[in-house]
Amino acid sequence: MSGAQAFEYRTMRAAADYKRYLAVVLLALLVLFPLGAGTVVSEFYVSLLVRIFVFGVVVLGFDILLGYCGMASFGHAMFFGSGAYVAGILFKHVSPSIWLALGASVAACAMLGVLVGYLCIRSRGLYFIFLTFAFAQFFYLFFNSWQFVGAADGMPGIPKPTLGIPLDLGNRTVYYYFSLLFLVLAYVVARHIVRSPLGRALVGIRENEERTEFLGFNVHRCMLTAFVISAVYGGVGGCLFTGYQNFVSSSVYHWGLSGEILIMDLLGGMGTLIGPVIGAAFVIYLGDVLSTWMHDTWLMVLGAVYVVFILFSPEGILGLAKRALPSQVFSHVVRGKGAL
Amino acid sequence: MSFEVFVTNLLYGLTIGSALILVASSLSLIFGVMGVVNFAHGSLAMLGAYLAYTLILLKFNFWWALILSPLVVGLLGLLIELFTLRPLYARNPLLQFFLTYGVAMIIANVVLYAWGGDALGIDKPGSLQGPVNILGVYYPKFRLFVFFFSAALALGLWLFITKTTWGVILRAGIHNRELVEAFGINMSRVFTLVFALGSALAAVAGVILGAMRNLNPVMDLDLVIGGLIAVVIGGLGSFRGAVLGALILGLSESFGAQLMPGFSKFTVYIVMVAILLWRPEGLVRGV
Amino acid sequence: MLLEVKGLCKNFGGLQVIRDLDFCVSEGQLTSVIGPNGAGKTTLFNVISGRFAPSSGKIIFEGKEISGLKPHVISQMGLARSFQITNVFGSLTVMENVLLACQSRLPERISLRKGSATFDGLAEKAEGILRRIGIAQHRDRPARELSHGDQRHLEIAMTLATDPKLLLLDEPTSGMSPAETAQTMDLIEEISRSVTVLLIEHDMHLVMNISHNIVVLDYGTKIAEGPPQEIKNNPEVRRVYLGGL
Repeated sequence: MSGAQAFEYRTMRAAADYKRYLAVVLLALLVLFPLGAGTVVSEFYVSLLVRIFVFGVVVLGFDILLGYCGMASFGHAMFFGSGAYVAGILFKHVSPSIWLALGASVAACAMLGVLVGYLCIRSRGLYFIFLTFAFAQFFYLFFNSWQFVGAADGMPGIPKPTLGIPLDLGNRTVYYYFSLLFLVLAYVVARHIVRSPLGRALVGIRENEERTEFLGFNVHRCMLTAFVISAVYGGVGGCLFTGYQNFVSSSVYHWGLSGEILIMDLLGGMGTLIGPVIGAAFVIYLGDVLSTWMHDTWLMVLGAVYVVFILFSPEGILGLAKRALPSQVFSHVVRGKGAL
Repeated sequence: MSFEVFVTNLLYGLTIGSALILVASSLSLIFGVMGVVNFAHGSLAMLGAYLAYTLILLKFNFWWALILSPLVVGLLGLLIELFTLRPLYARNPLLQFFLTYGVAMIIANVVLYAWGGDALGIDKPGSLQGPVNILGVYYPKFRLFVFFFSAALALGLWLFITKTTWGVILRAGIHNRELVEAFGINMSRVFTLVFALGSALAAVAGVILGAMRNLNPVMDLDLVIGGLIAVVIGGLGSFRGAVLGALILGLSESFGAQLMPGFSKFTVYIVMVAILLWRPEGLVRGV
Repeated sequence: MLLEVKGLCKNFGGLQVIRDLDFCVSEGQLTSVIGPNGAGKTTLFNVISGRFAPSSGKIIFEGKEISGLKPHVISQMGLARSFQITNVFGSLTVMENVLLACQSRLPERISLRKGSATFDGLAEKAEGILRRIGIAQHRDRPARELSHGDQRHLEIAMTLATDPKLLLLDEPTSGMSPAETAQTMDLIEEISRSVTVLLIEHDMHLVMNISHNIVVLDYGTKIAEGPPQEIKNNPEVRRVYLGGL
């Protein structure tokens, strides 16, 4: 029995093929989708899906931190917002190149992740939650009053980003494919991370931090790495967000966003990578549908759904599916007690 | 800083602090007995304030509102504990915290839905309107009332926890639930009552704060964060610490606004980070 | 001398748990640490393995001072430790538990770059250890489903998987039936032929049977040291354990 197979955590060959099939079909649908557009209804769905892709990237990174490493951060908006603002400022004042903005967002969030992570990781559980929350609030309050970026009103007049090749990134459909590409890329990378030695160590830390440390793993460095990875993912998402919205305001740093990211992860299924993306899709779709007649108070419904899931299915939507379908299909989902 | 300014800031700081005392002490009560950090505490307080507003609109006077609103919120707290928290006791405490976040979200948005987004006000009772002269400074009577009322309630709660049999049971329960239950005391029921009591106290805080300042649909965050920071400053699980923390927070906000205007909103979070990084166990040891 | 403990003191607040402790562990030998409850044995292990820093004194492993180093650093130097209260990954399978332990010895143990293929050699090693310990038949079961005795064995298996030079076993037979204890005794004896072992145990029969050297602690300090025969006849030890019989 080879090591790779042993470490596949009982993935059955049949189940793997089945899932690959499903993934290809889904991907094909998503790729073909905008080509059937042209009506006003489809335009709405393209916009919806772009937001789902963008937040999918963010929650993928967040899941590595919470789902795989077991660290609950309540301040993830800190990274999303930083990516969004870096992009906004660069687009408006330096250059509309999306590549520059992405590079800068990644660099900024990586640095921020190291700094904030280093301070926060000494704490656990509730203290870690409070600390990450407080740091995110610093950013929110600061950007909410910084005149250079328009304070609470936000920064309008951000030009549409450019790709550097003769494809108009300002075109909604082009941006759709661009962000879909990034989501797929983000997923592939996340999957690699989770299967790498670091990924295994993170699961160990989540299941029993002390044991993992005494086995000889540098737990602190692992956690910090996970934190920085999630920060970078958040920054990329934020950058893509601004690129699409052509607008950024302090709402990207709002603590409610940190909460929503957490909810997306939990609702989809923590520690599964696919789950959080499903969670993001669910939350964003639900929000769009309900907020037309409930406006902001649609969060009431989200809160209720969230509470129901915590009580009856903390493994999220994927957990529900797991219970409904034969066990082999979802054996890739890393068992273990999970983060919560 | 002149003496007058100092006294004004001091009094204002004490007032903010005392409004927080009720929130912090009831939060600390719930945590100390049940081990649950109740993120919904601010929303419950907010709900209390808005309910009082409606009661007053229905021609009840302030004092009736101060009694009835907490009763309703206390009942709601009872239901919340029974149906949402109780099933989670055997699980990770983080899960309980996340649940209270969800509950907070529901309550806060129900308030927004039912009462709208504009700021509202509660009229102070006639007997407590107007200023009073303290050390040459004119200070609103109602704010003074807030200080003494909160202090009295907190003291009452403290005495209850430390001096009565029930209080001892509460404190023993968190350390060794099985032992307490072996004495025939149903801890689940105790938990429900404690949560209901804590919620009611939060509502009292909300009503008073609503009358002192105003009612708005985002007041819950400031309240719960203030309460949490106060509890952390004092030390999670320490009741006296929560009270001390509330006062420290109130004073730092008041003097902070005076000395570093524009940064006042940051002060709360700076204090939070400082305590969490350098003294997470808080300032006070013991109950 | 593989391990030297020199003038070790450890206090928690006002409570002095270990006072002025000196002893050595020779390579290739099985040394047992015994003493009544509260004598400071587990605290000793905690200090040696890096969970706590000493209040004063030194711990020297293979000629290098390790006092105050972090647990993972000490583990990488070849010092492994098992816990008194079973400390495995309960929700992961037995195989996964040992694989993770094996992974800790790879230079790329927390690498991002390598994929699953890195673990090719690990599965063989893990299987080998599981067989040696005798729990290979449980390899696909979640660890928490195992019997208490088997979980204690898994604990030992994990420490072995880290290729230690010195193995600290903290009451490996606690909670075991006599049959399991005898089995464990054989196991430890077999292990001690290739790894130096430092053992905390309450089971005197086991200790007397397999130890080369015994260190007796009482109230945090050493009251006797020597081969089993000497210790058995030592009046101080008798007094401490039997109250002067």
